[in-house]
Amino acid sequence: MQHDFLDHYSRMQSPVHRLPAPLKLIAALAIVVSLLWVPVGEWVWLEAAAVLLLAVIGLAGLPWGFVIRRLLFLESFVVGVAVMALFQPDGWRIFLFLIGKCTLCLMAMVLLANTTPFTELLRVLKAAHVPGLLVTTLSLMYRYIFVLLDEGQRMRRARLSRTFTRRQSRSWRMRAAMVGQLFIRSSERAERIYGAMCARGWR
Amino acid sequence: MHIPDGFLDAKTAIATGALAASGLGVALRQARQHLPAQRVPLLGLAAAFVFAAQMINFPVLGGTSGHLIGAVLVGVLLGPSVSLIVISSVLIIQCLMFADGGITALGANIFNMGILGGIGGWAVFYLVSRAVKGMFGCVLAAAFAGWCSTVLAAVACAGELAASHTVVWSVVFPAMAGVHMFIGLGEGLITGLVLVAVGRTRPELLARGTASETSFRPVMVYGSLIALGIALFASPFASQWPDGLDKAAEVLGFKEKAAAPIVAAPVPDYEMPGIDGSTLATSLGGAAGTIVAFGLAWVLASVLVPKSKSKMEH
Amino acid sequence: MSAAIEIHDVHFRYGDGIPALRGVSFSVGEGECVGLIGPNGAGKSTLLLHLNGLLPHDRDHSHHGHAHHHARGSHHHHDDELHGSVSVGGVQISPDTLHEVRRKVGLLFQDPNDQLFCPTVFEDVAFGPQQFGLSDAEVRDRVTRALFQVGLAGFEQRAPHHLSVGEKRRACLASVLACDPAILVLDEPSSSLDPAGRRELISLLRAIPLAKLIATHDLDFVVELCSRVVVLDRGALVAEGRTVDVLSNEELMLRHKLERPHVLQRLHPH
Repeated sequence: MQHDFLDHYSRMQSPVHRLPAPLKLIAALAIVVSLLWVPVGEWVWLEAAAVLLLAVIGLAGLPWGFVIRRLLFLESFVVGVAVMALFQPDGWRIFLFLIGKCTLCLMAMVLLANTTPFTELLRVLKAAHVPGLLVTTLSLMYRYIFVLLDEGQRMRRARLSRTFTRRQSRSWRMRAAMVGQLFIRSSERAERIYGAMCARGWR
Repeated sequence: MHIPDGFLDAKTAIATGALAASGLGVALRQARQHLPAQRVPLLGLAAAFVFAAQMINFPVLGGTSGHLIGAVLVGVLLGPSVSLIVISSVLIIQCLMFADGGITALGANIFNMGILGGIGGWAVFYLVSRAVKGMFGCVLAAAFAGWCSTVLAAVACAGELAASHTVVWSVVFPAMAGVHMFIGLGEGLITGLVLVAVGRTRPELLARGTASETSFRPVMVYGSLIALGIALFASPFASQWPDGLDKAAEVLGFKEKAAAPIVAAPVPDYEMPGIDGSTLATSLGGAAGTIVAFGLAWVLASVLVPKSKSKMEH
Repeated sequence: MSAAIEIHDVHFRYGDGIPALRGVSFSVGEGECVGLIGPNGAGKSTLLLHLNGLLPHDRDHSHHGHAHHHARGSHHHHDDELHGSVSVGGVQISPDTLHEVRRKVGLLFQDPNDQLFCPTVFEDVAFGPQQFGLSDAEVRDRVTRALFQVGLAGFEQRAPHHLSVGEKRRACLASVLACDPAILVLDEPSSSLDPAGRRELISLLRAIPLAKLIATHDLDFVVELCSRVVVLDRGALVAEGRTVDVLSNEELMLRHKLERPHVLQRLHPH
């Protein structure tokens, strides 16, 4: 399955990966929240956080290329919003500080996401008494994202193999039709899953 | 439109978190009480569907592409409470698995896209589809509601960013609202197209969705949450009242004195260069945009649902 | 010795009037392996769903989505009608005995993705035992044994989307075995398997002493595993008997859009 990559690094082995999930979740949350409280201009704290995060990333063995690509992708939203901060007194200073703060928060979350398999986070949520229906939904969603992405890819390939022109005239309608198909198939699959759950005694 | 960490201050994050948690709690209770057991897996599958659908590129001139958010689509097909649960799940997984959307901003994102965009958008759909009957009305309502949901979410986002004193309202509001009035057209268009596609293959799925729960109590709760959100994040700026949220935060001890990077006192003239009498200009601009969007939705529905056919249905 | 499954004069009609099963009767003895064959649309899957009480739906106004079996569009099962009886281990299926029957019947769905719905293999295999109210320790014990039995020991924390098709099939089998069923009912178990996976599955199934009912297109599979065979066509049972006898009957096979498997052609050179 090509979509392995979406979930690949979280299952590697390293001292960081082996830490218990609740600890990692709380640590990430703590780092982000404390970064929120850093006043503008106090770069010292940002630098300290940067050193800490970079060290943990290295310890976790995450490929730097992957981390950088991920950060760059997410960064575009950060910059897009931060640009608006320029339009005020002292704008440049605020803009830069904002970028720094947000990037570090992103790093913390990317670290969390890629050292903790989502299944473990689900267990933490369950233990934290998050309502059962929500946990079930998250659990099924996680399980079937890959199946649906696969279906979407197969539909796309089928469409491409029957597209002989470069004209995009009907392209939105075709893609919308694909989305519609995806919904219908998901709906039907949900019914079959219900059957499978009942077959194993679910009430 | 996922707000990353670092843009919202503590009081905004907490306020939106409370709003989101309340709405989600109501939605979950609704679902537990009224959703037949058979449809429980559908929540998870619909969430996976939204995630997958959001990844499909809709090419727009010259290299860029649009994407579906899908809150209104799910709302039309499965009902408002289900759509809130689904969108919240998508946002939670995007945050925890992909760092897409900050963890402290989760409440805000759920409120903006799930409650305001999703349920607010669904409300628009409900009203318009009751006013204009048939498949035509359904597509018109869904497309327009899709546009509305995008714009509403963007306005709330702008309000939250301004309330956090990260950016000034007079910059962020026109920027966010303006851009998303265009992006919203894509959302409306795609929502309409997908509904027509579903209706063509499996019309009973469409009928099932549009006949879903509209019991009174959850509507009241969602409505009050939306009203509260708008009051907190949009109206203080539009009417230049003192920031009620800031006051509350001070009282409760949340306001960080040193952390506020910025505007020391509220800037008296919330004006973008080039716009006078900003409130009037904004309102006119907003109204014009809304009318245009509605008109475009009407055109879309006429194209997709031939008049003769729409008379035969319902 | 009561039959593991006894199907008696079952008539079934979908809510939109299409008769899916017309007077089907046969039984599967304890420890026996029976093959259920027939062309597409014969009603094999419909029959299998009856064995677990999954059909008919109870007054639920919803669509039963088996689109991958039905080329025609959707069915509205408002009033599915069932006549006749199905008994599992001597217990007749009725709304009261539904849960007891589901414990006894281990149904393996055609698409393993439908059956593995939990985020980890452990949770999937543990699902059934947990529903039956066993303690955590017992559940863990059953999971370990079931995974070992299908050759997936150590796969507990793997995510299903990381498994190959063969591994998924075996995980499904484990999830069913963990429920300690009296009979295994398998829907197209060898589809999408490569030759190695298929051979593995055959030896795996041979090692399980439970009664088995296997619905499949894979006639060679049937020859390898099943002592008896039942042929379904357009909802009716058209032939029943020893595997070799029925499958060698070329005329019968062709009449019901099947064919004599190559394996038998070698055994009975004409």
